[in-house]
Amino acid sequence: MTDRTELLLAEARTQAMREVFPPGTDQVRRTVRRRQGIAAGLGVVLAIAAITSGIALVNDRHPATNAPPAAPSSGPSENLDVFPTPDPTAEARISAADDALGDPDKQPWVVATSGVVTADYENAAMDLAADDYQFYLYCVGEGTVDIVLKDGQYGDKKMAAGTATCSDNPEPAILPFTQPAANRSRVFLSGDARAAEKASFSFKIVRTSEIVTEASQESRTNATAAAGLLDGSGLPEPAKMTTEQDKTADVTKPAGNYRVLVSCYGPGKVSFLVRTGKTLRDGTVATNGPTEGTITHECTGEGQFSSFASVTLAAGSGFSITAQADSAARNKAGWAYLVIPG
Amino acid sequence: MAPPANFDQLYAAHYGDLTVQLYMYFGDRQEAHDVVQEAFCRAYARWRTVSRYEDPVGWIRRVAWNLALSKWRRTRTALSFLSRQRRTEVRIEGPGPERVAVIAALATLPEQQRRVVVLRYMADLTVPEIAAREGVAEGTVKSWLHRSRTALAAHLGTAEETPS
Repeated sequence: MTDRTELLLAEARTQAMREVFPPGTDQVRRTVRRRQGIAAGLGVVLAIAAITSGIALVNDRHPATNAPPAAPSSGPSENLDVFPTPDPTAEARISAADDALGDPDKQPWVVATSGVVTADYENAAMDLAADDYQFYLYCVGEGTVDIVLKDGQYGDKKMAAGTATCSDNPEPAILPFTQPAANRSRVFLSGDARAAEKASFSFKIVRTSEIVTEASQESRTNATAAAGLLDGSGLPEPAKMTTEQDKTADVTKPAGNYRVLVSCYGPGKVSFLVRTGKTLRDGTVATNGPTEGTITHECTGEGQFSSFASVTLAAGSGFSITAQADSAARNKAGWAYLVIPG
Repeated sequence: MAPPANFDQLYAAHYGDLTVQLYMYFGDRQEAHDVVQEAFCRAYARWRTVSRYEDPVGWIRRVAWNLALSKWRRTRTALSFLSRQRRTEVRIEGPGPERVAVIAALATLPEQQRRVVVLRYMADLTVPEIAAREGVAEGTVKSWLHRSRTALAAHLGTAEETPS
């Protein structure tokens, strides 16, 4: 690890340590006493039940005093785990809320959590860098949840607010917000009477610049149609491209003369830029080479295709084909390309 | 029977460390506090046994991490003791930009890599200790650490300082 990275980790650790204020061992003792009281009460109930039903209960909660200590368990013992166990419905809702967050490998998030909706939930301790973000809240169950995001650990600097509707297949409530400076942020969630203590929620905060849009079915279908415009006997299969974001395709070929064919299909306009450039060590093509041509297609339901003039490719070079969709075409139109000798 | 007095000493010595480790893992200080306090509660409830372990802190750390990854964390929201105590919390300054950058960079790592970075650089565990804890070969831990370091350096803009 670089010295600088190690230093940053060490500083983060030191700074965070200064902000830790333990609730204290008195709090620990109160919590444990309260739970033991509940557990003892449960024991009396179970004992009575056992006596009345004639079933003997084996109490293993008090091992022999002289027994050697057991090996440390790999997990917490459940003897005193008297937190309420969610019923199957609540359990399913929590799992569904977790699942709704999606795969962080596909859509990275800055922070995410989940839990049971309450009338007055507050998460007061998330550190965010200055940037633009989107807040996604999923609520599984019934009712609604009001959302307020505030900047800073204290004060009333509201960054965003809205309401999420709970359902068994929730659509997220999405709130864009800007974190003006690196700071702590707060999330307030207030469930209504139908949601509180019954519904489950999950939320994630995603950097706007890292939002990954899935290609729509319409764009995929139109990409296939666009590829159909370039089909020809003896030609290789065209590459199909969707328009959920601007894309650059790299094509490496041996030195020679080539024609680049592009097509699009569907609504809106797509602009194409074809460049040649050096093939880099990672297999991609440099985008700072000469521009070989540009063209903008009105895609339409009939589709449109173009052939760029023959381009001479030097050894160790390739093509980069960039397509930019306008708002009408975005994630609706599809495009395709083909590079053939000629 | 009253628990041994050194529970308090252990709590005072390790609550902060453990909380920072989980904080760096979650990026969420409140979650970290909840999980660590719960782990100490479970240790106290069976302190007569736990205090005789060779490494009671290791037991508490393991419980805290297990809790962090379990459904307990998801269900604790309605039960959070911190949310009930929040009004008396000491006021502290917001985090510095560099710490925010570190936490953001850690958040980009896959969970397993993030965990080994935290255990190595926040808990000061050795590679063999992490390997034993995670149930993998030491070479696997080294590989995870190497990949994590590369990714962190890229995110933190310190990659150019990597010695050749």
